[in-house]
Order: sequence, then structure tokens, then C-alpha cells
Amino acid sequence: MNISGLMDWLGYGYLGSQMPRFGDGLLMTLGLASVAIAGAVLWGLVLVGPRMSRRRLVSVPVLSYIELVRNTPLLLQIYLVYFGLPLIGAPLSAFVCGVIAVASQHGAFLAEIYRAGIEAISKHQWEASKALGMQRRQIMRLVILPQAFLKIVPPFGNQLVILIKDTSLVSAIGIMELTLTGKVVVERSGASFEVFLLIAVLYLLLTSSFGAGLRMVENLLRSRY
Amino acid sequence: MEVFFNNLPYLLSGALKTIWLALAGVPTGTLLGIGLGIFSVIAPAPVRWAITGFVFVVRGIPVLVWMFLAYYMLPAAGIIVGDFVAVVGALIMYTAAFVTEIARGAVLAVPSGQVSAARSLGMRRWTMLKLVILPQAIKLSIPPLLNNSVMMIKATSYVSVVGVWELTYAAREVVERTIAPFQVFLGAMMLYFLICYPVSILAQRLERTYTYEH
Amino acid sequence: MSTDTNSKDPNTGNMPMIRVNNVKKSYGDLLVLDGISFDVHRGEVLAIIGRSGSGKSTMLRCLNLLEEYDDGEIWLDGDLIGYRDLENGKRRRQSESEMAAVRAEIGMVFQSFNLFPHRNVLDNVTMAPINVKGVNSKEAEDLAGALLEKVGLADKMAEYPSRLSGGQQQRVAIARALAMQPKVMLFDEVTSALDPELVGEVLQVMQQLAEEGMTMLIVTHEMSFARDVGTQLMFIDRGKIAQQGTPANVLENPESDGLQTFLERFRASHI
Repeated sequence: MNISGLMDWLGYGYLGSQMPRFGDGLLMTLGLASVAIAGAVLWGLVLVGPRMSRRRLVSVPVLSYIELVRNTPLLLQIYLVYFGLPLIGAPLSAFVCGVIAVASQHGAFLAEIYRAGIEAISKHQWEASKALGMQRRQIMRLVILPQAFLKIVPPFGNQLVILIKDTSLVSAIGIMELTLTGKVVVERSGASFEVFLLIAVLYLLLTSSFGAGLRMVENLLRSRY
Repeated sequence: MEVFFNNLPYLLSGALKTIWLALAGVPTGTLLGIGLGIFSVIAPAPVRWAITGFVFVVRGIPVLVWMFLAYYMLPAAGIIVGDFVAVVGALIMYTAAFVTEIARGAVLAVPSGQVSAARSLGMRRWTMLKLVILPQAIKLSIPPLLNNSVMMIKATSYVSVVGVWELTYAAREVVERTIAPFQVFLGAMMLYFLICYPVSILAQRLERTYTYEH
Repeated sequence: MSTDTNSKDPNTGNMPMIRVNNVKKSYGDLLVLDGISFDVHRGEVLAIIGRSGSGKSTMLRCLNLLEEYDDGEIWLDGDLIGYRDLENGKRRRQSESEMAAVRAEIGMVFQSFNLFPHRNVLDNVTMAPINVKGVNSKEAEDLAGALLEKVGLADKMAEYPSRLSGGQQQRVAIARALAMQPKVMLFDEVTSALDPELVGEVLQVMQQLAEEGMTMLIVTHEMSFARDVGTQLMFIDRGKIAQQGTPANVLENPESDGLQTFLERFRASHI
């Protein structure tokens, strides 16, 4: 009783001293996620145009890339970038490799989400715009894209939540984000239960606050239009 | 490409392990999720809230963390299971959480007119469920279930981070030995692709036939 | 071919506002328009009736080049539209931008209104003048204000389409089309999707437009409206004009069994 109590106490004490570490891990996760989100959103925008092109020469390569990235594990893609880039003379840091891989995969998913949003805008909107004398580029800019943007908020937000969770995978290439921090502390202290509980709670807070923010945005948009 | 082909047998047995992991985790998780999904619609309030809570918590945490939790915590709690069982357990739970939402959505997507028609014909709850709601819900849920399965097959790769051997683990071993990341990782990706892509395509085809039916 | 029955005063000059000559159109194997020819003079109101699938909507949509016709000619105010004549006697289809320029001169109102849901009423009406004709926003807003006043919706300028009734949305759609100051207005079954009590407000706006001298082509099921406001009535059956004349004439003296049956069924379902 005494010894186990002491050990528990030690475990907790150790845990307490590791708090800054968890803070750093959380910040790393946030930083990684933010940069990857920006990259994925932009990458998806870059991909969606060619993806929807009527010229097979343009759309087929993009489609192949998207299907490849969607049907293979993100972990392998991370390894490919991390281990492969140095060999072609571009030894980028683990952080950058992680961001590239995560943004690349999620950008592909987002491109499909953008596409579905655009295609969902009724033909009637195209016709009404054409009947007013508008041309394709104008119609996209003024009528189709704004509406698509409003439509895709839920799947778009969901995809970003998945992205946040996927940042845990870059722990495999040594980035000290939340998960790896947890693993390291566990291995040093043996207090696995408390540590992983903490990690789990932190992730849950992260994803649920993002989800709550998303719902607020959805409600805002719905009430306006 | 010789590095890839030289190591192909090793990678293939890794792929087999991947398939084994997927088969152990995904169908079980899916069945569990379907049950939970149906209950989340028809069960009494406390049960429904419990299910909602379960889904919320499980889906809000990365599956890798769940695998770590299972791997480290179960022994600490005195439950001695092998590594394989621990990570498969995490996978089953994660799959079930996603499938719960899919099944729930499918049941709710059956038009309410169907329920009205069934009730006006005198059908009672379980009959209505069995003959009218479930058949339609199942049909609606197949594409998302297939897509979810692909996601879970990809998730089996994460067990390599925890230390369980399968295709991704094998690939990394080979690369660290041969320093040929492009050949080996791309080759391993191809193996995953061969497993996942047919399922994805099936889901896309089925989805297309549904949109044309209405 | 226009006999003067209403107070409208067709403009001087022989050139019709719209001339359609032997127009044909197919969808794959299906011949939808089989040699249609007619004129519409300035200020005239042509009402078009027919069964669904007869080609009447397609004809209308060929006039503003939303559909491309395969054979024959369509002239708008003396200019050939849809095609360009080439020196060697052949012709080529107009480009997208040339067709867009044509569409800017023709206004169209649709059965499903098709307002832009992400913009308010005022923006819906000003968007095209500002972006297509380059009108400055003050001018566009003034014009929009006047038009919305005319259709009775000046107080709804800041509203979004989802807040308006069907009849109100349709009137906004009319104002939107008028804002481009078109030469011709096309109406494609604009009251068919409306609840009966909302139909009147839309027809009233259309009647006012006709009295002001707008050249209009109206595909409709509203027979009494066609008779009261139309200067010509055309019955299209299976891609051809089966009968054409003054509304009173056509409705009282149906020449074909097809038209006879159509009118009988129509009257029966509307009593």
C-alpha cells in the first residue's frame, strides 16, 4: 500500500512535470494542422479545375493522382515523402515532409468535395445566367462558385476534422506532436493510463471545438439565406 | 525495379497480414455499428444518448491513439491479450463508431411516407422495421459502408506505428535495409491500391445507379 | 401576318422583330422541330400553346440560343442569330461570346424562376447590367428600383429569394430580365409552377408589359390570358405549327383534331 501509493505519487509527479511537454506537443499538432489545412484547401482548388476539364488529356492524370492518393494509406505517403525526397536532393525537414503528405492527400479529397459542390448547382442557374447574356467565366464567378461554396461547408469541415486527426500519423517520422509526446512520456514513466487519457482528451477538445465552430458557421449561413 | 521484385514475397506476406487484419476488424466493426445505428434510432433515450456519446468520443480521437490506448492500457488493466487482438479491438471499435453514423443516417433517410404507409396498413414496429425500413436502409447504406471499409483497410497500416507487423511495417523494414524508398513504398502503395480500389469503384458504381433511379 | 385587334401600335417598318424560317432541330434521332416558320412584329404578343413534348419550349429556347437549332434561320431585328454566314456561302455556328451578346438582347423568364439564391432581390436585378453591359452600379440600382416598383416589389429589395412567395419570385425574375432592356421577352410557362392564387399577379405584370408595347412570346396554358392579351396564337403539334391566327379565331375554330382534342381536354380539366 505504501509503496504503490508512493509510486503513484511519483507517477503523477512525473506527469505534472511533463506538462510543458504536452503543451509543446499540442502546439506542434496545432501548427502542423494549420499549415496542412491551408495547403490542402489550396491544393484542392488547384486540382479541381483540371479534374473537371473536358479534355481527357488533362482530367485523366489528375483523376489518377486523386484515386491513387485516396486508395493508399497516408502513412505510406508520409514515408514516401520523408525517405524519398532526400534521395532526389531535397532533404526537407520532417515537419515539411509531414505537411506535404497530409496536404497532398486531403487536398485530393477536398478537390472531390469542391467538384461535387459545383456539380450540385442546378442547371437552371446556368440557364438563367446565360439567358441574361453572361458568359462562362462570369457565371462561375458570380453565380456557381458562391453557391457551391455555401453548399460544401459540412463535408468540407468534416474533411478538415479528419485532417486534424491524421496529424497523429506524422509521429511515425519523429515529429514531436501530441501522440509521439504521449508515447515518449509513457515509455519513460510507465503511467500509460493517465498519459493516454490526457492525449485522448486533448484531441477530443481539439476536434469537438473545431466541430462546434463548424456548426456555428453552418447556422450562420443558413439563417442568412 | 529489382529491389521491389526481390522483396515482393516478403511484402506480399505483409499484404496478407493486412488483409487478415482487415478481415478481423472491419466486418465485426460494421455489424456492431449497424446494430448500434439502428438502436440509436429506436431505443429509449438513455441508450440513445450513450450511443451518441460513444460515437462522439471514438470519432473525435485519432485511431492511432486508440491503438496505443489498447496496446498499453489493456495489459495495465490486467487484460492480457496479444498485440494483434489489442489493435484489432481498437479497429473494431473505431469502425463501429463510423458505421453507427452511416446506419443511422440510412435509416433516417428512408422517406417518412414509407413509415406512414406501413402503419396505415396495420404493420407494427418490428414488422415495419424488418419489411419496409431495413431493406431500404441497407440499400442506401452500401456505398458509404464500402467507402468506410476502404478507410479502415488503410487504417490497418497504422498498427505498424504501434509495432505490429504488416505490409507498411514490412515496407519500412525493406527500405531501411535497401535504401530504395521509391520502389518499395510505391510498390507497397500499389498493393494497397489493388486491395482498395476495386472496393472504391464498386461504391462509386452503386452510388451512380441510385442517383439515376430517382 | 398581324391583324390589329388590340390597342397596340406596331412600329413602322416591314422588318419583323423576329423571323423564324424553316427551323429544324433534333435530339439525336428525335426530330423535335420540323420546319417551323413565323414572324413576330414589334409590339406583338405571340401566345404559343401545345401539348408537352410538342416542341414549344424548345422553340422558345432556340430563340435565345439556349438550344442550338440545326437547320433554317432565325433573325432578330434583322440580324441572323446562331450562325454566321461565310463568304463561300456556308455558315458556321456563332461562338459562345457572340451568342452571349445575342442573349443580352433577349429576355427570358423561366417556369422555375431560377433567381440567384445567394444574392438579394436588388442584386439579382442589377447583376447582369453591371457585369454584362458594364453599367455603373448607381445607374443599375436606379433602374432596378424603377423596375421593382413597376412589378410591385420595391419594398422587397433587400430580401433574399427564399423569403418570397412563388408569385413574388417570378415578378422579380421578370424585373431581372427587363433590367437588360431587351428587344424581346420570352416567357416559358411562367405561371405553371405557381399556386393558382399567385398566378394573377404575374399575369397582370405581363399584361402591363404588353400594353407598353414590348414584343413578347409566351408559351402558356392560360387560354383566357392568351385570348385577352395575345395578338397572335400559335398551336404547335409534334414539332410543326398546326394552326396560327388571332386568338379568338384559333380558339373558336380549331382546324385540326389535335387542337380540338387539346382544347377539349384542357377545358375539361380547368372547370
